[in-house]
Amino acid sequence: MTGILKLFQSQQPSSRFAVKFKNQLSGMRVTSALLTFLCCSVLTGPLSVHAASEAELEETFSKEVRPLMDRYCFRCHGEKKQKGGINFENYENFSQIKNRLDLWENAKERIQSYEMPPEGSKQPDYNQFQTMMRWMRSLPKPEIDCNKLASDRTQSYYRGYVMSRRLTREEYGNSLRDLVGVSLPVSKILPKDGAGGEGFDTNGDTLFTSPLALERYMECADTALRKLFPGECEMPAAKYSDARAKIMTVVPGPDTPVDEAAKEIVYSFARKAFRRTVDDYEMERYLELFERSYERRGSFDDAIRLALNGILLSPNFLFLAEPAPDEGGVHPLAPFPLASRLSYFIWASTPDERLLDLAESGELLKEDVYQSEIYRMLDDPKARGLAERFAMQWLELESLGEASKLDPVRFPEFTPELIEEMKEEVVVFFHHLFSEDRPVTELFDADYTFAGPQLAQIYGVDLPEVDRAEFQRVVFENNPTRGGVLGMAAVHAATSYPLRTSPVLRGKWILESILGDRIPPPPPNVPALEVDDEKVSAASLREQLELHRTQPDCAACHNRMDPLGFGMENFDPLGRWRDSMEGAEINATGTLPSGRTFTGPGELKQVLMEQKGKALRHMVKKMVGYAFGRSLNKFDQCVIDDTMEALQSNDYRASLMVETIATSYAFRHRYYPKSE
Amino acid sequence: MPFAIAIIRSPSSPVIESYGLSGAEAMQHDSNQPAVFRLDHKRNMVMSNKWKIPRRTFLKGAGVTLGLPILEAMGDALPGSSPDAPASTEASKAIQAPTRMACLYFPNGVWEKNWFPEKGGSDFEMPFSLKPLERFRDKTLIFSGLDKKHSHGGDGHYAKTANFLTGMPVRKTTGKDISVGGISIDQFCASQIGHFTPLPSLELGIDPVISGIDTNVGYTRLYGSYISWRSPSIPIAREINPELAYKRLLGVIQSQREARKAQGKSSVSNDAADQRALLDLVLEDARDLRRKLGSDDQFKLDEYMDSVRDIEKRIQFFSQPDPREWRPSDIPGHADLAAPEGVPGDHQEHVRLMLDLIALAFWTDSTRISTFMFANDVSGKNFSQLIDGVKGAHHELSHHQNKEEKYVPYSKINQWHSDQLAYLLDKLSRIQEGEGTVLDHSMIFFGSSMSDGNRHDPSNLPVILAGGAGGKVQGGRHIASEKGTPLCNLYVSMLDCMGAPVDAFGDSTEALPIGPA
Repeated sequence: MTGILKLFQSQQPSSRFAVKFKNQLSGMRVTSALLTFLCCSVLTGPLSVHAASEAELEETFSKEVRPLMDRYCFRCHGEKKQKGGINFENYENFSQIKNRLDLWENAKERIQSYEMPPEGSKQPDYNQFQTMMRWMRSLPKPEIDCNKLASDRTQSYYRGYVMSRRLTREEYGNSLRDLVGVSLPVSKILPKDGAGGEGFDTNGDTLFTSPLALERYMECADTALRKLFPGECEMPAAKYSDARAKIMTVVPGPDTPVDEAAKEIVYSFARKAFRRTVDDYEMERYLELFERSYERRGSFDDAIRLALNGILLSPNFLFLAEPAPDEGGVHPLAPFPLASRLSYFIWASTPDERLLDLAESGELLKEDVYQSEIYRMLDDPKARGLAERFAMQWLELESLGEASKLDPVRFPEFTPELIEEMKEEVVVFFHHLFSEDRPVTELFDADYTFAGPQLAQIYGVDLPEVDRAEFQRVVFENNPTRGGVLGMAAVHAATSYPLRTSPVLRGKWILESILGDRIPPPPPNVPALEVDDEKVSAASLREQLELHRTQPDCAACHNRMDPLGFGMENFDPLGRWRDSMEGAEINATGTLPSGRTFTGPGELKQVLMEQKGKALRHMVKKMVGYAFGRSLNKFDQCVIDDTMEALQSNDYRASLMVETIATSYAFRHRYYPKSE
Repeated sequence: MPFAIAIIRSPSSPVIESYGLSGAEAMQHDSNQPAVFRLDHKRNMVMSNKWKIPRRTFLKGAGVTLGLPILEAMGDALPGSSPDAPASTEASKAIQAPTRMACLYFPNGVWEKNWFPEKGGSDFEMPFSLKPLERFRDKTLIFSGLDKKHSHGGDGHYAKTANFLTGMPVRKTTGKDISVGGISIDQFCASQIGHFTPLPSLELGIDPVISGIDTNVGYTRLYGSYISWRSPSIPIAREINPELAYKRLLGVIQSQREARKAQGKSSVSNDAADQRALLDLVLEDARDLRRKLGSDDQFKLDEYMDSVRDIEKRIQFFSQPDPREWRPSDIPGHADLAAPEGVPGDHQEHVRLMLDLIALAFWTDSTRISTFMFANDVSGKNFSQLIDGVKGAHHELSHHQNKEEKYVPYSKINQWHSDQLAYLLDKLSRIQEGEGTVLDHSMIFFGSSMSDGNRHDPSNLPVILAGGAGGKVQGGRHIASEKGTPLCNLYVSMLDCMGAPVDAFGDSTEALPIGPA
C-alpha cells in the first residue's frame, strides 16, 4: 500500500467518456410531492408529511385550512380586497386549486417565511401554522419547465440572486496560491464568511465586503507579492524563483524597454487574475501606477509589485463578475464567466491557463470540449478544493476544533494535530471518491478509509509500512463498523458534547445532514433533557431518553433521532471503539418508527444504504446549492432529478454528479433582470 | 515619586521597570537602546539609567509566550492615579473629554433570579451573578423590564441576537434578503461622530462566524454572529485574532503620533500616497464594473466601494488637520505594551486581550465606539476549565429546566461574564484623563439578547450600563422599568450621551432617563 498521491494514480476508470446520458435541456415534467416524501416514510415519524390523496387534500382544505384562511388571509386576499391582485376566497374546492398550483406554491413560501400574514395583522398560533404548512406542503408540485430559470417572468414573486459574487475566503487563498504561487494561511488572516442559501459560503447574497476584509486583502496581496518581489537589490528566496519567473514573463534589458516589459507582465497577470482578456483602457490605470512608482524610486520590482497589488485588490479579481448583456432576460453564460463558474465549482480556485485559452477561443462552449474539461479538472489535484469546501460544509464539520471542542482534561488526546487528521480524513476520502470516480454510495458503506498516525491510533489499526507518518489508505476487513462517514472520528467528535457523546445530536446529524430531514426545534419551554456530565452512565441516559419519548411532545422527533444515535454509541467522543461505559455495557440497539431494528454502527450503515436514494438526493441538492451559489428554487428540481437519474443508471459513479450539475441548463445560463 | 505610564509585569516576577511618555518623544527613541523614560512629577522626561530587559526576552524567560494581556502593564500606577499627581496638561483640562461607548454582548441569556436585584432604586443588594460589579456599584446602572418586542416571534436565538443593537425585526431567511430591520446603534453613532477619530468604530469578537444555515428554523446562522450592522442588510466583519487586531490598532496609534508630531503640517509618505493611488484605481475599476453588471449584482459592488472609501478616509485622516480640539493626554507606544501573539487557547485570556484593545483604543482616542461579542449565539463554550464547579457547555447549561445542578453553574457562567466586564471597567478606571478617568467618560453597555435561556425569553432583558458618560449617566441604581418598555428607549438616551441625538431609534417610544435626577 502506498501513500495517497501514488494511490491516486492507480485504478483509472476505464471509460469515463462512455457515459452519456440524455441531456436535460428539454421536456416538461411533473414532479409530485410524492417523490420528495414517499421515500422518507421509513425513518420519519408522525410529523412528516405523507403523500396525500386528492380526497384527503380536499377534505383537509375545506375542514381545516379554508377556515384558517378565512381568519387570517381573506381580509386582504378575499372578496372585499384583493391585495396584489390575489383572491383566495375564490378557491372553494381542490380542482380549482389544482389549476393554480403556482399561486399556492407561492403562498406557501410566503407563509413559511413568516412574511404572510404581515406583521401587525392577526397571526396564526403554532398549531394553526403547522396545520396550514402541512397541507400546503402536501400539494402536488406545479409543473416545471426544465429549460427555464427563476426570473420575474416565470415567478410572480422573483427576488433575484447575487450571482456576480465575491470570492469566499478560501477561494481567495486558493486563487492567490495559483496566481502568485504563494500559500498564505488566509483562515487566520481574513474574516470568515457566513453561509446562506443551501448552507454554503459560496452563496452570493451572504458574501459581504467590509472595510476590515479589504484591509486584509491589501495585506495578503502585499505579503504574497513581497515573497516574489522583495524590493530593490533583494532576491526572492530560492523556493519562489519559479513563481517569480512565471509572472516575470519578460525582463527589461537592452532589447526590452522598461515600459514594454511592464506592459507585458501586467497584461498577462491581469488576464489570469481577472479570468478574462483585458483591454488597453482598463490596463492604462495599472501602468500608470507602475510608472508613478518607477519614476520616483527607479525600482522595477517595486513598481511591478505595486501594479500587481492593484490587480489583486480590484473587484475584477475579488468578484466573479458576470457582466449583463444589453438585453435583459435569460442568456447562455459567456465563455469566460462559464470557465470561472466551472473552476470555482471543481477547484474552488481560479481557472488555469488552458481553461482560459479555451474560453478565449470559444472552444469551451463546444459540448465535447466542455465535458472533457470537467474530467480533466476532476483529475487535477486541485479538485481537492471540492472536498475541502463542499464536503466539510455539507457535513457541518468545518467548526470542529473551533466552536465545537471536547473537554481538554477529559480528552487530552483531542489535540490540534488530531483535529487536523480528523478533518483531513473526510477531505481525502471525499476527494478520493471523485478523483477515482468511485460509487458515491461508498460514502455510506465503504470498507476503507484514510488515516494518519494519530487517527490510526484512534481506530486501533496499524498503518501499512512505507511511511507511517503519511496519510494512508486503510482497509477494514471483516469490520463493518468503520469506513464511510458513519465511522469517521470527525463526525463522532462534532456530534458530541464536551464531556460525552450525545445520541440525540448524532441522530439529528444523520437525519439532517445525511438524509435531509427537518427536525423542528423543541417547542418553547421544553428543555433539552440531557445533562452534560461525565457521570451519566450509558444505561441511565438511555432510560432518560426513553422517558423523554413517552411524552407526546417529545416523542414525535426523538423517536426518529434517538435510535439512530444509539446505533453509534460504540464510538466515544473521540471516535474510539468502546464496548462499555462507566462499567455498563453499551446497548447500541435502535428501533426506528417503522419498526426496523438494528444493532451497532455496522447495521446502521445497512439502514442508511436502504435509504440511499433519499440520502443521495439530499447530497445532490446540497452540491447543486454549493455549485450555484444561491438558494434553490423549483426550476432547480430538474437538475436534482437528472443527477439522480444519471447516478442510478451509472452505478452511482461520483463524476456523474459533478458532470450533470456542471452541464445543466441552470449552471450554464443566467437571468439578467431588465435594467431599470 | 515618579509615576509610570506603563509597567511591564508578569505574574511570576516583580515589576521590572516603568517607562513611557506621552507623544512622539518615546517613539523617536531607538527601542533597542537600553534606556528607560520616566516622568517626574512635573512631567519632565527623565532618562532612567536602569537597565531595561527587552520585553520579549523577558517574557520568554518567564515562560510566558502567549497572551499576556496587553495592558497588564497598567496593573498599578497610571498617570494621575495618585492623589497628588497632576492630572494632565492644561490644554486637555479645559476641553471636556469625549464620551466613548462600547457594547458588549454575551450569549444564551441569564438565570434571572441571580441577575436582577430585588429592589429598585439605589438601595439594592448586588445579586450573585453581578457580584464582581460591586466595586463599581456607583458607576453601574442595572436595568430590568426592558423588552425587544420584535424578537418575540421567530426562533429562539437568531431572531434575538442579530437585532440586539437594532431593535427591529430580523427577517427569517437562509440568506436571501437578509435584514435586521435597521442600522445598529454603534454604527449609527459611528455615522454621526465617527469622523472625529481615525477609526469610526472597532468591532471585536472571539468566535469565527458560525458556518451553515439552520434548516429547521429557516435562518442563516450568520445572524447569530453579528451585532454590528452598517445597514439593515450589511453586517460588519469583526476581528477575532488579538494579534492582528493589536497590530491594526497600533498602526493607527502610531499614525496619530506621527500626525501630532507633524502638528498639522501635512506630510504624506510615499507609501501612503501609493496606497491612495491604489485605492483610487480600484474604485475606478469598481465603478466601471458596476455599470456592466445587472441590477441583481450591483449592490454588492456598492458594499465594496463603501469599504474602499472607508479606508481612504482613514488614510486621509492623518494628512488633514485633526478635527479634534481635545487630545488624549498620553499615547502609549509599542514599547509600553505587551503585544499579543496569535490566538490564546484560554478563553478568558482571549476575552481579556480583546477588552484590553477596547481600553487601548479608548485611551488613545483611536475610536470612541466599539462592539464586542463574548461568543456567538448558541455558543456551546465549555467552561469546565475556567470556572470552579461548572461542568459543561454554555448553551446546554442555559437550558436549566429549573434544576439546581444546572442553574447554579449557569449563574456562575453569567457571573464570569460580569467579572470580565469588571476587568474592563477596572482598566478604564485606571487611565487618568482630565479630571477623571476614561471610565468616567465612557458608557459600557453589557448584556444578552434574551433573559431566561431556558425559555428563550426576550422580555426583561439583562442589560447593564457602566461608566459615567462624562456626567450624563448616574450610576448606583437599579432602574426597574415597566414591563414591556422598549430596550431602544435606552438606546435613545445613550445616543444622546454620545452627542448623536435622535428623536427615536428602533422601536423606541421615548427616552429612558439615565442621568442625574
